[in-house]
Amino acid sequence: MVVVVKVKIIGPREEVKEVDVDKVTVGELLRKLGLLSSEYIVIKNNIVIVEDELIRDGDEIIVYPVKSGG
Amino acid sequence: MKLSNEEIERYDRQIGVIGLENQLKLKNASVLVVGLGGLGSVASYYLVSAGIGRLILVDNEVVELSNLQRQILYTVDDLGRKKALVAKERLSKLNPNVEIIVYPEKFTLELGSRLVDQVDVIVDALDNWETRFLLDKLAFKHKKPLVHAGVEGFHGQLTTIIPGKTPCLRCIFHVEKPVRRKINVVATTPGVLGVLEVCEVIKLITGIGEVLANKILVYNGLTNSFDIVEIKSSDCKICYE
Ligand SMILES: [Zn+2]
Repeated sequence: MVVVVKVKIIGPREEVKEVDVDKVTVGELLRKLGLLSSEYIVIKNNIVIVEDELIRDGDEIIVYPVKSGG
Repeated sequence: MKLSNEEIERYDRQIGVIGLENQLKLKNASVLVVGLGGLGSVASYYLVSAGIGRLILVDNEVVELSNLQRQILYTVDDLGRKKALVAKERLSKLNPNVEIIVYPEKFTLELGSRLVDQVDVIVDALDNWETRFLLDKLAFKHKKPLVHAGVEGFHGQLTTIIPGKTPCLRCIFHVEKPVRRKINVVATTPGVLGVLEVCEVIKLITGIGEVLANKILVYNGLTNSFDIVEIKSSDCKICYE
């Protein structure tokens, strides 16, 4: 089965991507988007989800950058 | 300790909001600020102006020209001088009622172990995850609240860590291999986040309002958005390690 998730990436170039995936974890999704998992937090239904959590068909995901500067 | 007449006049507009008793709570509180860059300049400035009684500042670096775009504690006269020493001078002039103790040295486990125990709240104004996670460990060991912020570009995030109530920074951000790189930032971003860090400190000390416990505020200066996302409580194994 193919899972379609809408991913909104917050950042300098804000974008919404639709990703076709076959049942993925948060970590795999980030890799698919070419994002480093250490630099982003992933939110589903306004809640931060961890890297090994599964993303399902129709999920709306927001990806926020984590900033390290002071 | 009581407030002097000078203090009552100085904090008049704030006492009008939080009350005399809470102003006294601020005076009787100690806060540790680690890092005196963009966030730390702003955070320490407002902690001192707001009337925190005792402030401990740690930073090992000297003032450079490229700091002045955002690190508002320093001027061209301070180039080459230790930030912690300049900060003490400047902040003492702003509010001589505040006891300011500075450590112009690197924040290490050894130094941190001595300092964290002496304060009520810790402010993370660091520029790297390595030292942040060290501070996070100490906060959990000594059960002290830690206000975290991080900035880059027009973006930043803020959260308040409370041992026993929230997961630790390491759990939330699980940055596995922290990389140190040059971080570019717009002048106003550490200003916004540094001020919000102090607002968290004031709420933690006085008990007024709501702090960002189990919540992350994500700031986007390009769109003027402040999003608040929730953190699921996790059964973290490393928090108290
Ligand atoms: Zn933890």
